[in-house]
Order: sequence, then structure tokens, then C-alpha cells
Amino acid sequence: MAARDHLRGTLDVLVLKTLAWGPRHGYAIARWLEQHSSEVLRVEDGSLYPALYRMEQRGWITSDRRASELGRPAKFYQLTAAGRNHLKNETAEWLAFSRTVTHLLEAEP
Amino acid sequence: MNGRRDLYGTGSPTGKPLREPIFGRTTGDEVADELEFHVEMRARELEAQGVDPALARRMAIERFDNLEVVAAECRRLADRRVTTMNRIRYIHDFLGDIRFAVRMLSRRRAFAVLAILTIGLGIGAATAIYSLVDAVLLRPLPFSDPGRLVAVWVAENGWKTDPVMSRQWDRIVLGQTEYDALREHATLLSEVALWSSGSAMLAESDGSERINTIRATANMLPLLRVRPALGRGFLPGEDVLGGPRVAMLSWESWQSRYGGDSGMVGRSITLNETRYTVVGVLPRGLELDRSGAAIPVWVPALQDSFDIAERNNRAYRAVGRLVPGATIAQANTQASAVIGAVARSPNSGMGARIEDWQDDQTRGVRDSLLAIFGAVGLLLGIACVNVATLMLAEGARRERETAARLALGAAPSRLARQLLAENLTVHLLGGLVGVVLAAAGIRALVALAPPGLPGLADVAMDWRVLGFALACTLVTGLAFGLIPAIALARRSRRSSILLGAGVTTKDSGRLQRVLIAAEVALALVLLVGCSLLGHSLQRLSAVNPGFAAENRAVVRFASPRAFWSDDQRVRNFYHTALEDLRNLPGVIAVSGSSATPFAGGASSSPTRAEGRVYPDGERGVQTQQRSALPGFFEALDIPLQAGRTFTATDRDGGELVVIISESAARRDWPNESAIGKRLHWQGQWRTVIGIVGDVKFSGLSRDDEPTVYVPFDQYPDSDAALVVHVQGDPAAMAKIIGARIAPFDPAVAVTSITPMTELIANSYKQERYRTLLVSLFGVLASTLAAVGMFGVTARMVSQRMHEAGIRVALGAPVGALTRLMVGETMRGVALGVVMGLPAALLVARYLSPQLFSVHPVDPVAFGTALLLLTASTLVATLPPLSRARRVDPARVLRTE
Repeated sequence: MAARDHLRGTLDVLVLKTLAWGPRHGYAIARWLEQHSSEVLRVEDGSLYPALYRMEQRGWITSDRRASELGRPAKFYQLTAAGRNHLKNETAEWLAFSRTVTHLLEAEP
Repeated sequence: MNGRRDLYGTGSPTGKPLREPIFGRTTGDEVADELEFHVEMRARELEAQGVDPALARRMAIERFDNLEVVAAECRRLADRRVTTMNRIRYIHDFLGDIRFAVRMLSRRRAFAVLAILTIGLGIGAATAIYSLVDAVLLRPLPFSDPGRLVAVWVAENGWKTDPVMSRQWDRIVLGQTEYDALREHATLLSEVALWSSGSAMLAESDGSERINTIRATANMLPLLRVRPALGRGFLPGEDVLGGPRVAMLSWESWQSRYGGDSGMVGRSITLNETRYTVVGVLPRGLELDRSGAAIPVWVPALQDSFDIAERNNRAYRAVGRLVPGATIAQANTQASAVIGAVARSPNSGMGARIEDWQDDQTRGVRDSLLAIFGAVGLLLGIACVNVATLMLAEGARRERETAARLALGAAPSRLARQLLAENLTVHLLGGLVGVVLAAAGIRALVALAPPGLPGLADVAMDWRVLGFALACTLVTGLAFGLIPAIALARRSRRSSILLGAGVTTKDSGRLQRVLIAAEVALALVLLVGCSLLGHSLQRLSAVNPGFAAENRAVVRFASPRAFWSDDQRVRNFYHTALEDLRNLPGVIAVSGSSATPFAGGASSSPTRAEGRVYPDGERGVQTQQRSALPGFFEALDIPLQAGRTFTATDRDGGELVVIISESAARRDWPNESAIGKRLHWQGQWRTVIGIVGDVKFSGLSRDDEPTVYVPFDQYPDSDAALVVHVQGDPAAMAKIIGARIAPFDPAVAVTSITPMTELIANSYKQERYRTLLVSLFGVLASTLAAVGMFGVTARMVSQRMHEAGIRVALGAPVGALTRLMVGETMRGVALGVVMGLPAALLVARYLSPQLFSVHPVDPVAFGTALLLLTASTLVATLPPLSRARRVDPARVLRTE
């Protein structure tokens, strides 16, 4: 359970990151994650959307309907102030954590 | 579209479609749209890489693993969000309504102030009275498991009908005999402890002071499950005849007299010229008798020879603790058998009475308090009805605005909700005003309260009282706020298109009548209660006490044992005092007795008339007894019916004589003159030399009690109180009298010098307090009711003016129309009287035990109430009705 929560948390942060540069719809988020995670970290389409809905309820993101590439309105997501805050905190925490782990793994006896 | 429905599932998981509030689409649609968009985008991309379109779509869907499960999960999450949002929006809307209400109210300031003050008055009065009821009746005693603490009394069934003893037949104190028996055999009481209150002279560095004391058995503190704050309590073996002289200090006296010095334990204090070793300090706030004054010192009970010398001496009240599972009734039966078994004469009908300790303490005041609480409830009811009528009237004034908003498409439910919010706001603000009024009211209530109200010291504005105020506010706000709201919703459903003024329907006419009727009914009940209590108080205060009270001062003393165990010293003191005061300028007469009327000290014992046979063996019948100083009957103007009063020859060693009261003469020698007959009293035969009128002794409402008077010299009593008949104001003479008496005997202290009229007035303070409060609420309530009726009638007239104008213009006589309106108003009043009378009769029946020589269905009281009501109805409704007579058809038609 703890591991899954952690993974879910990671996905949340990554999704928030994709929205840091402006509103996107779900497919654009998925595409961005695919392109930048170089197949190492594969995000399932099936877990992306529940994550979006969950974060919307938490108030980290909001949605509205905007014109899309297909010519009909699609649901676009956008960071809220709370979401931006959360992203900042999580990023800082993750960087500190990974630095420590890296440091430990590269350590000489 | 069908394929898509299969793909993404339908509706919400709960089965009923939830509305996405912004787009008016279900969450199911929203999720399906979004996922479909994703699938299409993905497929398009794959096609661009050369994949076959059908395959591309399948691949896009497969990337979801199980699209249907994902869709369902998303729908669930979306639904939850919508629910939360709806909830937030509802609260937001309601706050908006409140804001709107405040804006509306501030625009109609006069209306708002009137409504808020009315509610505030009702809630304030109710809250203040509740604080009293709560502290006295409801709040549990501050002991562990207080529900199992019981008062234990001896009851003598044979006394129920005895004129002297009937008031205390089931409140007889206990003695050592009953105590031992109960502790041994009453197994349903895990423990029984004795206590009694008294007083003693406490020696201090600067003279001595009279203080109240409690004598308690050693098991009292363990029974109450309290521990001493310091030191120890009394030990078993200390509460016995000749036990060690030990004492406990109350926390409060330890603090105030001895500065909280922890070295007090082990030191000694001097009570009644005897040294007592302080063994401990009682916990803070410990009270056995919540109605009495503070008790600074406790000493062990049962140390005096008085306690065991004779089986019949009983001096203690008792408290017990029920064993778990036992009921009061069971314990009562058992204890009655135990007491009956140790009674002196087995057939005497003696038993026990066990009652919840708190109920026992509040026995004398419960009915009064509940009557006051009932009165304030009626006041609150009238206040609420009033505000509802004000709201309706206000609604009528806003009719055009309301109609316009309805015509513009506002939902009636929305307008009703706004009206409800407005009412709630009024009630909440009124509640706030009420709490402020109650805080002031509580102070006045406590200041005016009669002495001896148990728990009076605990009356305060606390969380329980504030909770009551809030509950009152919300309940009345919702209940009465709904009336105008529902009226609006109903009216708007029928006549939302009527933009003109004066929308009248049969419905609103009926509502008006019901409101008038409700005000009349509530006011009638309260007024009947008021006039019954007022009438009773008037009768009570007009009772002739049997003696002259004006210009008499009563002087009371306190003295130590060294004084009162020396009969000659007592005689000397009183004779010197009498002799000296008699010569004081301005003094007409001086005398006194062991029990001067309304000054306490009454006692009784059995008497036997010579030659009569009594059912109770040789004991005779209970008779009140007094030792009278020379000139007692003259000083109080007690009429001599036959024979003579005491003279200087009736002294110690002279012939044993007695004067009896009229009721005693009637009882003992019903068919012959009592003069010259012999009466057996306190082990001696005495000759009756005179018959005097009966006097009220402790209460004006009490029946005449057969009384014997013996010469003071033949039976001296150290606790005699003096009566000084003076010219002019007795209060003004008090200082001079006190200064004269002080040097006669250094051991005797004057405790009070009080005008007799004041003592008598104090004897019915509780009745006066109750009547004062109920009357105050009655006056307030009938004023409010009158204001309310004025409002309703004025509204009716203003609504009908329009109709009246047209009718008059068409030739109808003005008088007929006025008669119609008067008739309508009177129908409401009549309905109110019809509803109120049965309720008033019920209340009168409930009050009847509290009434003195007034029949519950007293025609004068009911007549007064109806008259007052009629008068206030006329005053309230005539001005608006007479306005209807001056209808000007031309003006009415112009507004059309």
C-alpha cells in the first residue's frame, strides 16, 4: 500500500510538472510524459485520468473546456495556487532525497 | 453514440445521474467525452505512423488496459467532487442569504429593531430563568454518583392530621437509635451519615464571633466520596459520647480566617469556650445544605449527652447512599421497617421516608420555580408569535417587490429561503440581545431572590445556560421563521401574476386570525396565572397574624453553654433587660418569649388535659410550647379571651400555671370553660389561668396551632427573643436598644434587631418573588400581545383599504365594511379565548397547591384576566379599525 501510494504520489508530481507551463488536456499530458521519461518510466493511460480527477478534487488543479486540435472542446487542466505550492514542496523533497541516495550509492568504502 | 455508451458505462455508480452543475451534463458524459478525446488523439497519431485506422483505435483503447474500469473510477471521483461542491455552494448560498437578510434588515431599521428587541426580551427572560432552574433543580450535586445520594427522614404517619405536627410528619430528624438501627439493618443503604447545623461562638484574637457549624458523623466524607483538602476527616470513635474535641475547617474559612496556613492542622481553635484541635480542612466548595449560609467549622456529631440520654431526642438530618441496583422505593420500604421496629410504641405508625437528596433539598421551591419557568415560556411564545406577525406584515409591505421578483422568474422556494434566512437572522441577533439581557437579569434575579433558595450561589451565565439560549434561539427561529416563509411560498403559487397592491386571499385572512388567536390564548393563560398568584398573595399578606406587628422590634440573642446551663443567670439577664429597656424614652412596652412570632425557636411537646383519655397511651397530643416573659401578651396586643395573663406572682416556686391558646382550649375542653382545669405538660400538672387568641407563628398561611404558654421564670429559656414596642420607627431604635443590652451579660451577643413587620414580610418572600416574576412576565407578555394584535389588525386594515375603497365607491356603506373587519378581528379573539380557557384551567389546577385561600377556578381571577385581555385587545385593535372608517374611495382608486 505504501509503495503504491508513493508511486501515485510520484505520478501526481509529474502531472503537476507538465502543467507548470500552462493548461493542457489529458492527452497532451500523457504525450509529454511519454516523450520525456524515455520509456524508463512508463505512465499508463489508465492511471493518468483517475490521478487527474483526484487532484481536481483536492484543489490542486482545475479544469475548463477549450477548443482542441480535433475542433471540438476538450477538457483542459490548469494548476491552482495550491497545486503550484504542492509541486514546489514535492520537488524540493524529491531532489533532496535523490541527492542523498546518489551520494550514498556513489560512496567509496 | 451507442457504442460509446457501451465503452464507458452509463450514469453514475449510484444509479441516479448527477448533474454537472456548470455545463448541465452528467459526470458520465463528461468522463466519456474526455476519454473518447484521448482515444481519438492517440489513434490519429498512430494512423499518422501508418497504422490501419481500425487497428489504431483498438491499440489506443488497449493502452488503457480496461477502459471501462478506468471510466467507472473517474466517474466515481467526479461524482464525489460534485457532491462536495454542492455542499459548499449550499453553505455559500446560505451565507449569501444571511448577508442579503442583513442588508434588507438594515434598510428597514425600525422593523428590525422592534423584531430583534422582542425576540431578545423573550430569549433573555427565558435564559435568565433557566439559569435559576438549572442551578437549583437540574444541575447534579457536585458529588461522585450523586444520583444514589438520598435524604433519610423519620416519618410519623399519625402526625399527618395533627394540627401542630402535620407540616413535618415526613421530615422528622433522626437520633442515635435510628442511626444505629439503619446502619445495622438497612442493607440497601451502603452507608448512612448524620449531620445537623447549629452555631457556636468562635473566639478570635479580637473578641468572639458567632459562626455556623455542622456536626457530622465520621462516615460523612467517605459516604460523599470526598477527601479532606488537608489533614484528615473525623475518625470512627470520635463521633461518640465524650469523644475528643476535634474540628475541621471549611476551605473557605481556612483561606479567609487563617490565610490558608498549612500549619493550622494540629493547632486549636476555641468554640464556646472549649478548645478544639483542628485535624483537617474540608475540600473547596463542599456544602451539605445548599440553601444555608457558609459553614466555617465542622465538629463530630453524637458527642453530647443529649444525643443518647433519651431515645426520643432526635436532632440530626441524615444522608445515605443507595447500594448499586437498589431503588429509592425498595430502600424506603426496608428503612421504614427498620425504623418501625425501633419505635418506642410499635403501633405508632412510625417509618422512614427516603428521597433523592437533591429533590429533597429543592422540595419547597420546585413548584414555584417551574411556575415561573412556565410563565417565561409563555412570554417567549408570545414574543415569537409577535415576530412572526411582524414578518408577515413586513412581507405584505413588500408584496409588490415580491410579486415583481416572482414575475421576473425568481423561484418561490428561493424567496421563501431568503425570508427564512431573514427570520433566522432576526432570531440570532435577538438571541444575542437576549444573552446580554439575561446576564443583567440573572444578577437582578439573584439579588431579589428569597433567602434559602438552594443552589442560589451557583446561578451564573455558564455554558449550560448559553447552550440553552442558543437552542432556544434556533428552535424558535426555525419554527417561527418557517411560518412567514411557508405563507409566502403558498401565496406566490397562487397569485404570482398579481402585481397590484393588496393581494388578499382567504388564506392570509385565516393566518391572521390564527395569529391573533394564538396571542390571545397565550396571554390569557399567563394572565390567569398572574391574577391567581396575585390574588393569593394579596389574601396571604392580608391575614391577621393575631397580634400587633407595627412599631415592634424583635431582639434576638446568641449565648454560649456557660450561660444557658445556668437558669438563674438566664432569668437575671432577661429581667435586667426588661427592666432597663422599659425605662428607655420612646419605649412603650418590652417583653419576650422562648419563641416570639416569626423569630424562630418553636418547639412542641405532648400535653394531656386532666380526665381525658388519649389514643397514644399516656403521652397526650402535640402542643406548641412557649415560655413567656411578663407582659408578653400586652406587648404584642394578643387578645385575652378569658381569665388573666401572667403577673409578677407567677414566678419560680409559685403555683404552676399555664395560659392556653383558643385553639388549644377548643381542642382540650370543647364544651366547657378551660379556666381552672389542669393540664399535664413536661412532667407536671399546671392550672389553666387564661385563654388567649391564636397567633401565627412562622407563616401566615398556617392553620392555628394549639399552644401553651408558661411563665418564663418557671421554665427559663436562654434563646428567648425580646419584643420592644416603641413609638415611631422600630428600625431607628435598634442601635440604642443594642447598645443598652450589650453590657448586661458579657457572654450574650445580640445577633439581630429587626422590625416585626419585616420578619412577617420575610416569611412570604418566596411567594412574593414568584408572584413578582410571574406578574412581570404577565405585563410584558400582554404588552407584547397588544403590540402584536395592533400589528396584525393594522395589516389587515391596510390590505382591505383597497377593497374597501372600491366597495364604498360602488355604494356600499362604510359602516358595513368596518363591521366586517371588527367581526373578523373579534372572531380571532374569540377563537383565542376558546383555545386559551381550557389551557388556563389546566394551569390553574396545576397552581392550586401553591394558592392560599384562592380557589383555582376563582371567578375574580378569571374575570380580571379576561377583563385585562379585553381591554388590551380593544386598545390594540380599535385605532387601526377606526382608520378603516375613514376610507377615501377617491384616493384608493387613484392608486389603481
